[in-house]
This record gives sequence, C-alpha cells and structure tokens, in this order.
Amino acid sequence: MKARYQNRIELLQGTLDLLILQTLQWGARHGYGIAQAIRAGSGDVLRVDAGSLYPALYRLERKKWIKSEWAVSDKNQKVKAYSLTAAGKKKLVEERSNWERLSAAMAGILYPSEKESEA
Amino acid sequence: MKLFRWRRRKEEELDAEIQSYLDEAISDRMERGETAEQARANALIEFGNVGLVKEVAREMWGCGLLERLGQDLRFGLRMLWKDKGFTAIALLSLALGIGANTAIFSIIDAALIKTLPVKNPERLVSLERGDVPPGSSRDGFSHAFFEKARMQQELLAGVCAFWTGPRVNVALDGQAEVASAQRVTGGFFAVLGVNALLGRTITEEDDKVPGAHPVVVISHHYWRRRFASDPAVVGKTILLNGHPFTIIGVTPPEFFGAIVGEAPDFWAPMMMTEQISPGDSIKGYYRMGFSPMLARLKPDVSEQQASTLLTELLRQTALEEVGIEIELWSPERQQALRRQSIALIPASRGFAAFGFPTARTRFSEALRILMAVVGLILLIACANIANLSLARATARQKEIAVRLALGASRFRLIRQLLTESLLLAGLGGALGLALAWWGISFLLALMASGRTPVYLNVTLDARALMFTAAASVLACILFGLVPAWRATDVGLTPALKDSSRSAEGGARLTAGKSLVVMQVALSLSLLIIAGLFVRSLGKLYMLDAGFKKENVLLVSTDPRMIGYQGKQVSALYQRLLERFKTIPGVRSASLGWAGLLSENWIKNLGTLHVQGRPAPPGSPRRPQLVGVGPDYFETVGMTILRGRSFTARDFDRGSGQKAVIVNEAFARYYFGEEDPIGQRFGYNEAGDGQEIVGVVKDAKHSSLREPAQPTWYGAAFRQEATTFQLRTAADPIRIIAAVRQAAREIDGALPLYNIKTLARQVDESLAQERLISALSSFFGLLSLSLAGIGLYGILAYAVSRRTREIGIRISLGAQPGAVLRMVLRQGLILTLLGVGIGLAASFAATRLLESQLFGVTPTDPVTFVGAPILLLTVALLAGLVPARRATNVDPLIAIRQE
Repeated sequence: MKARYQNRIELLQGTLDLLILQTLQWGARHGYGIAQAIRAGSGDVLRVDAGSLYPALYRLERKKWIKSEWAVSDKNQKVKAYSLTAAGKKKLVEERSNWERLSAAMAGILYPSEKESEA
Repeated sequence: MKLFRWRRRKEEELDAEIQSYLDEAISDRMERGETAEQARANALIEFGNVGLVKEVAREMWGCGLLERLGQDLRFGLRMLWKDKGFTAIALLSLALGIGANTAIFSIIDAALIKTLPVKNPERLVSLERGDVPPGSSRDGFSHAFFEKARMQQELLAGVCAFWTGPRVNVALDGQAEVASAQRVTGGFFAVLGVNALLGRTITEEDDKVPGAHPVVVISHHYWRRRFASDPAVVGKTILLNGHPFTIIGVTPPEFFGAIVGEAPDFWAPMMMTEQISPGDSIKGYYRMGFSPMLARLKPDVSEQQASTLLTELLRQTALEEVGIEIELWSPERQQALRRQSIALIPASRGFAAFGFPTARTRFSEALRILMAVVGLILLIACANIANLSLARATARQKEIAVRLALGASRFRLIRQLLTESLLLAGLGGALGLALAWWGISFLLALMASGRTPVYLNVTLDARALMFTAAASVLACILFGLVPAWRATDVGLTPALKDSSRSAEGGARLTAGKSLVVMQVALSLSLLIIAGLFVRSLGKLYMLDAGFKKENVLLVSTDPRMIGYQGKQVSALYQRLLERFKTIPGVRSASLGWAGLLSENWIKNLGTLHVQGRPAPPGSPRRPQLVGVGPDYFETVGMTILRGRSFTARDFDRGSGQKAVIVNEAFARYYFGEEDPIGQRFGYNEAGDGQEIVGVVKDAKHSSLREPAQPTWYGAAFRQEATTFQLRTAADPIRIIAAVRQAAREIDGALPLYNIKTLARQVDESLAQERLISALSSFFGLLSLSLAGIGLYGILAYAVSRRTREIGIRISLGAQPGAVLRMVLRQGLILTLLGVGIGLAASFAATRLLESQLFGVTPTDPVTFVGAPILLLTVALLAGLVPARRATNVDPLIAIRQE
C-alpha cells in the first residue's frame, strides 16, 4: 500500500484550487476528468483523491469561480460538468501570477548561484 | 422544510456524481484491459472511503454546521428514547439538581445580591455614626441634624428617614382588617426615585404639619389583594385606626420599600404619626432620633465629599444643641463631641445589610448552607449520570467502533455524544426550571410563615434563567465529557470482534468506580449535614421551654386602633377576659403584654437597683419585664417554684407596694443561692418599688435557642396592644369562632389578629431550623438513592462483564454463597472507600455549621455513626440484586457464550 504513495508529492495548501482552475481553462470537465487530467499532466506524480477533489470543487463553486451543470460524457454517461465562470478566469490569472512569483522566489533561494550568474 | 428538500436534492446529486466518477473510472480501466470485476474493485480502492468523501464534501455545503446539529439532535433523541430507564433517572436527578439550585439561587439573589428596583441605586447611601461620643447611646440622628442635612442642596439630591410599623386597623366599606404600615419623611420616594404606578407618591408638601395631610400610598400587592387592582382606587378614602385617609397612589409591583424582606401594605407621611400609631407622638420620634437615614448623592459627588460635609454638619448641630452648657463639660467630653463623624454606607441593595434583623441577616446563613447543599446534589447527580453514561458507552462500544471504522472522526463522535449530553442537560434544565418555580413558592411560603415574616420579590427572571442555563451547561460538561472521551477511545480490532471480552473495560471500570466512590463520599456528607440539622431541630422541640405549648390559643388585639384610650383599654381587657372564660372548652384565660416567642420586648428600662445590694459583678445585664394578667402562669403552664402566684389583690392599682414574680435566671443573677422572696428592687437609686413574691421556672420568651434571660413579671392590665392566652380542654382551633363571636359581642369593631395556637407560635419561631432540616433531609435521602443507583449500576455492569469468569468459578465448584460474597465485597469496598473519604471531609467541614446547630456538636457521634450505617445498608441492598444474578449464572451457558 505504502509504495503506491511514495512517488507522490503532497500538494501545497491552496495549489489544488489553482490546478483545478487551470484544468478547466480549456473547457468543461467532470470530476473524474479533472482528477485524470491533473494526474496525466503531472506525469503521474500528482494524484488527487476524491476526498480532496470534491470538497475543493464545492468550495470553488460556492465562491462562484466555477459553475456546474449536468451533461453527458464522451462515454455516454450522465455526469456533472464543471466550467470556469468569468470570476474564475480572473482568479486563474491572478493565481497563476502568484504562483510564478512564488516559484521564482523559491528558485532564487534554492539555486542562488544561477541567480548570481544572471545578474 | 425548504432546507430539508434542498438538502435531499444535494444529497442525491452527490450520490449521482460519485456514481458517475466511479463509472468513468471503471470504464477507463476496462478500456485499459482490466476485467470488469478488477476494474470495479480497483476503482473503489482508488476512490477510497465513500462515506468519508461524502462527509467532507458535505462540509462545503455551507449550512453544514446547523444541519449536523439537527442530525445529532435527532440521533441523540432517538438514543435517549431507546434507553428510557437511563433517560428517566438522568432527567429526574438533573431536574431536581438544577431546579433546587435555581430556586435557592433566585432567593439568594433577591435577598442578598439584587439592587433595589429604584432609579440609579448606586447613588444611594445610608448615614451611619462613625465615632460616637461616649455616654451617648443614641444611634439615631437628631431632628435638627436631619433638617440641616435635608436643607443643604450642594452635594445631596435628597435625604429621608423612615420607620417600620405599626400594625394599623384598616376599615374599608365596613370591613376591618389589620395591615402593616411604614411612615416616611416627605423625601422618601423622591430620594429613592420611585414613581407611582397610579396617582402620585408622598412629597415634602405632605409632610410639613403634624396631622394636616391624611394621605397614604398603597403597595401594589395590597392594591391587588384588597382592591382587586381597581384603577379608581386613587382618591378613595379609607379609615386608618378610625381616621379618614385618602389614597393618593399605588407603587410599582417590584417596589417593596427600602428594607429587603419587608413588604409594607402602605406608606404614610411621618407627620401623621399620631393618627397611625396611637400613643406615639412626633416629638417622641424627634427625641428617639432619625434612623435609618437615607441620602441620594448628586451626580459626580463622591462619598468622601459627602461624608466630610455631613460630618461638619453633625458637629455643628451638636455644638448648637448643647449650647453654652458645653463650658461645664470635661475637656474629654468636649473633644469627643467635636470628634464625632458620619460614615456613608452604600445602600444600593437597600437596608438590612447592617444589623437589621431582616431577610438578609435572618435567613442568609440558612440560604448559604442550602446553596452548598444543593450544589453538592447537582454534583452527585452529575456523577451519577456520568457513571450511567460510562456503562452505556460500553454497551455502545460496538456501535462506536463501527462508526470509527467507517471513517467517522473521533472529534465528530465526541461531538455526537456531547450533543446527547447537552440534550439531557437541556431537558433536565427545562424540567428543573419548572421545579424551581414550584420550589420558590414553597420556600417563600416557609419564610413568610416565620414569627417575623420575610417577604421577598422573587421572580424567575433573566438572571435566574441565565443561572439555570449555566448550571445545565456545566452539568453537561461534567457528566458528558469524560464518558464521551473514554467511549471513543476504542481499540478497533478487539472492540469489533467482541466487546465483552476486550481488555478495554478495565480502565472504564476504574473511572466508574472512582465516580461511585465520589458519589458515596458526597452523599455521606449530605446525610451527615442533614442528620446534624434534624437532630438540632429535635433537640429544640424536646427542649423544656418552661411553658406547655399544647392546647393554648393566642389572640392579639389593640383597642387603641379603634379609639380606646387609657383606662378604657384596661377596662375592656378585663371584660374580654371575663367573657373568654365563659366560652365552653376554655379552662383558663389570661393576657400578657409580651407574647411567648413573639419578639415584642421592651428591654431598655434603665438600670435596676436591688435594695441594699451592690450591682452584681461583670457587665451589667438588663432584665426583661413582662406584664401579665391574672392566672398567666397557670394558663401558659409555667411552674411557680417558690413563693406564690399573683392574686386579684396584686392587680389593684391602689396598693402601694407592687408584688412581682421573677424567674430563676433573675434570682440567680441578683441573689445567687439566697432566697429572693421578700427582696425589693426598683429603677430608682433606693431600689424599692417592687417586692418579689415568687420565683417562676425559667421560660424561653424570646428564642428557644438562647438561654432564658433574667426576667421579672409584673401584674398589670397594660393599656397597649396585648395577647390573650386561652388554655383549652381540646384542640384550641375549634374555639376560634367562639372567641371571635365573644369579642364581637363586646365591641364589634375590635380588631383581632395573630390568632394561632401556641404550638404554631413555637413552630414559627423555628422557621429557619425547620427549613434547613426539611430541605437537607430531602436532599440527603435523594443523594442516598442516587448513590444506591450508582452502586447498583457499577456492580450490575461488573457482573455482566464477568459472567464467563463466574461461570468457570461455579463449574469449578464455587458455592453460591461464595459468589454472592465476592460481588458484595466489591460493592462494600467501594462504599467503605467513599465512606472513609466522606467521613474525613465531613469531619473537617461540619465545623462551619456550628452556629446553626443546637444541642449537638459538629461531630455529633450519633450522626457520624448513624449516617454511615444507613449508607452501608443501602449499599448492601443495591449490591444484592446483581449479586443474586451472579449466583444464578448457568456455567454451561456462560462459557459457551463466547
């Protein structure tokens, strides 16, 4: 059991929201689709379990950053599809720039020599 | 309802969504080549705990908290309903505990804590003497000083004084009755800041000229009782002692006057003293002094400033009063006069805080003890419920383990269990409030039945409700938290396998055991307290009071209320006495100026001198004087020890030398072992005037608790209020109608009051003692039964856990007697532990009760042996049922059970 989780990285607090918003950027997806997209996009490193995904989806929906409607999936099943709202799109841009600043800052600390050579 | 439907829709959506997630995952896996079964299993494993996902997802729905609370409450109610026995015991003990606490708190609040229901009570101060010049025993303030203080406008918004009493004969529409009055100076209502509910209050204008303004303000309760809340009462004329008075107003319902514990029926101006109180004059009050005196400070004036000013006024007035004569005084005396001062005491809670024998001093000690007693009861009730909950939690161990295994968090479960406790506490609190309502009226009735009735304005107000809520929540935490914590502390695997074999029970049993020990200790303490009070009361009743209380009827009257004066009064008394003697069933009749155990005393007669003897050594004692009619000692059953009783000749005013009878205490104090018969004493320097003709056995005149005071009895038909004593052949209650009829024949208007038996008078003088012992016994027995239930619970539980072990013992040849003893021993050990702790605690604590006890020491051996025996008996009985059950264990069934 444990081995399965060894390659996984714990998501930083708040990053799941960003990943979900990003995943929805190109159109509506259902819950399973979002989980799969994150997993595939991260090369199987990031796995979002249902216990984190659904609370996050409901939270984002309550903040009116995403909306949901019932649809039929490509496998012909009735699913609930989530899509970005206008507020969600703005939030995504904001969160992305936040993340870039954060990762740049992290990089600056973790690889100081590169920074110096750039300067 | 709307919320409910919304919630169901959300729930269905969530189910559908999770289902679609799983379906997608399964078909995904099948596309990758897994078999349908594999795909399904793997998808479920990957998804995780469906219930938990639902739970965390629901939390995001917003109103989850409220929703869950509703859920918990519904579930809790169901669990409580399922376990009716537990719920009934828990609710009953909680209701009694909380109800008793609320009732006692409400009364303590009204008597000791609440401020007067007046405007800005914190600005009220009472005037007290600081340094009193030696030789001046007067504790009141002179009229001149009162006027000076009243006239100054600088620091005080007003000054007033008031006098309680007397009883007044009220005639209205041809019906007479006796009511209680208070006389006030004109500023009384303005200083207190009390406005009339109807009409107006008494003002300075009403209190300027003696006898000029016959007006009264009636109290709300009198208005309701006597006038049926008639709004047209203002302007009505009533006859007070035969004088017409106009009702000018009604006070608000919450206003009971400035003395907590009293409830005057009406207030009249001080200047009407001669009409209200026959025989009194305003000049007399000027001489006696103004006390209590009440003042209202102006805003922003400190007590310090005001007391400085008033002290200055006091000294100035005193100098003016003494005048030129001061030149003759010794320097010390002059200095003392100039040094006297005034202390201001906050009076926001009304009078009674300082030496007034009213509610605050009379019942406060009893109330404090009762508060402690009911606090203990609540603790015991909580321990009992905690104990029962522990046993219940064990029974629910499997349910809890299953819920934990299904992913419920421990916090969530604790919350669920606490919700159940809160539900219990809430229901118990609500029931307790109902009980408190009943309890308060019971207590108030008891307090008002005393010899000096105490009236309190007690209502179940917001403060009482808050107290109840706090007590309930506290109780809930006390009895709910530990069991909830323990119940959820479950080792999953053993608990799921089989609860009755798991090792967990050990710790839980220990917790239960210590609770039972605590319960036993607490209830033993309560039993001891109750025992001490009951024994004190018994001793008071068994006490030789010096008179025979059986078959005596007391009737009080005051002919001055209907205009009799001087000799007319004594003549009337003589006629009444003759008439009363002819009533069938009356064996003898007499009258006494001061009734037995009635608190009507004139003690301040000055210094008594015995002819030809120096004053006895030590601090001087002032003997009491009781004026009595013919046959007094025979009628009340007092024994003449030496000499003779009064004869008709002694009542003849003409005879110069007055014959008196003294009691043993008097004889001992003044004459030691010598024969007092024939000795003379008096209140003049010569010490003559009275000749002792007899010695009567000591009788308790003022209080059963105190030893008899030196007392002398004079033969007299006093011209004041009096009490008749009628000794009857049978139950004195039966002749009341005949007594009324007899009085009517002589004067139809004569007011009769305080008609009761002497036995009841004795009971009433013990109102506080009876209150404490009745309540403490009730709670003592209650705690005893709770302790019994607790013991039974813990032993029954232990037996049910040890069924297998007992079965093995029996199959190996243990005799039923041995099994019985084994279980009983367990109960006995717990009880003895509790008894030990309880005895030690009581031994240390009962000293605090000493002032309330009579005739028993705080470590009374009878109580300290009797209470543990009672407790052990109950413990044995409580243990017998589970012990018998243990002996009936069928070894075959017990062993096969697992």
